[in-house]
Amino acid sequence: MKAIITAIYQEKNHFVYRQTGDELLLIPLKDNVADFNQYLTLNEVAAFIWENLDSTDDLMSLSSKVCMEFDANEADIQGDIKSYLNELHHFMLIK
Amino acid sequence: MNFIGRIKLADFNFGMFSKSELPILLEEGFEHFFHKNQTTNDRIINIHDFLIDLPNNAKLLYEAKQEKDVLWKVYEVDGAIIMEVFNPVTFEIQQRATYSSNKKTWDIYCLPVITGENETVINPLAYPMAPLVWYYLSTEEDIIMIHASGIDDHGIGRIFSGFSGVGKSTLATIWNKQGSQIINDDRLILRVMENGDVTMYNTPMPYSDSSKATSLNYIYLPFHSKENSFKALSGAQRLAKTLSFCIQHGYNEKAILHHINVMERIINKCPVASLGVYPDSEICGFIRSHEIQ
Repeated sequence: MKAIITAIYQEKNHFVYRQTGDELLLIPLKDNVADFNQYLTLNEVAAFIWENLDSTDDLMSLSSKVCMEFDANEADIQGDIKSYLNELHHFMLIK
Repeated sequence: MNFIGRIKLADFNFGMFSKSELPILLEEGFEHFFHKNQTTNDRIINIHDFLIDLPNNAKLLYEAKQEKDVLWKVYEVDGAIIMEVFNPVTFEIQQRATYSSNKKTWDIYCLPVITGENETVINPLAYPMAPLVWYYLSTEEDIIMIHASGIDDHGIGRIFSGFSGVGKSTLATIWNKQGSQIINDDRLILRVMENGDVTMYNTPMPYSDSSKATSLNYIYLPFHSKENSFKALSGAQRLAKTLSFCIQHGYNEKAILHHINVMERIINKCPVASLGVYPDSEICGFIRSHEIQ
């Protein structure tokens, strides 16, 4: 999971993002142009992870950050965070 | 510099000035957008009958490619923008242009050309220069350029947005046959007015057409279908889908965020719907029956 988190962090600058209502709109940059045809919408928790993900993070540290922000139990949310990071990484690879 | 005239686009005035003694050629499509009288200029276009060299320290920001050729390039030099624009047929250099955002001034440099009537002229806004000038306006003002047809249905403005082949022109023609005025059947400028209302405008095209504008009330994203269907869009999907049909030239985060801002204001005023279209006259009544009055 650490490798995926690092890969996401390294690719972040190839995306532009914008809060719109309750969602964060994530738009890839393709051939130096924002590609609004291939976007991802992130809910509040996913948006928090996107905005706070750091190069030094692993699943544990990221889960701690989320728990502190949303008052959740770490054991309960690690599976969801893992799924989300996999989904995000997949989106970033195919964009 | 001598005042040549002004181009009025989406109610913005581009004052044109030239030192050259050569006549300025503006193509047929500018006919109804060009005015001889002076007024307050929102942007200045200075026209020169020579080409400047590209500075050695010019940093390439973007290339607009057309298959293996390049239609234009954007460079940055000491914080300023320089463009190289190529002829869309020969791909030879056609214009070099600089734009100062602070002074809101273009300087367009181009070599004289000889017309079919054997007259030597300068054609500073020859395609694709003009749409680039409009595009840069859209990065600074509350406007956005969009691939869309637009119609004025007795005061109700609708646009049908999408890329080539989705039926923009067909829909415009169907509405026209039912008494609506076509604003344009291919591309439009949308402007958020001071009171928050949205106005659509046509732009100079390769053919002559009068300058037109009307209020915008509804945005449709059509697709071909065996039967008509209507699905209102909401949230981030509504924003991203609408923006995907807007015109952007190269990545500039500030410009993208500006366009997102403008589009958010537009779609907060104008409902957006995905529209399955079977192209006959019934589509007009179908659309009207789904609109919130």
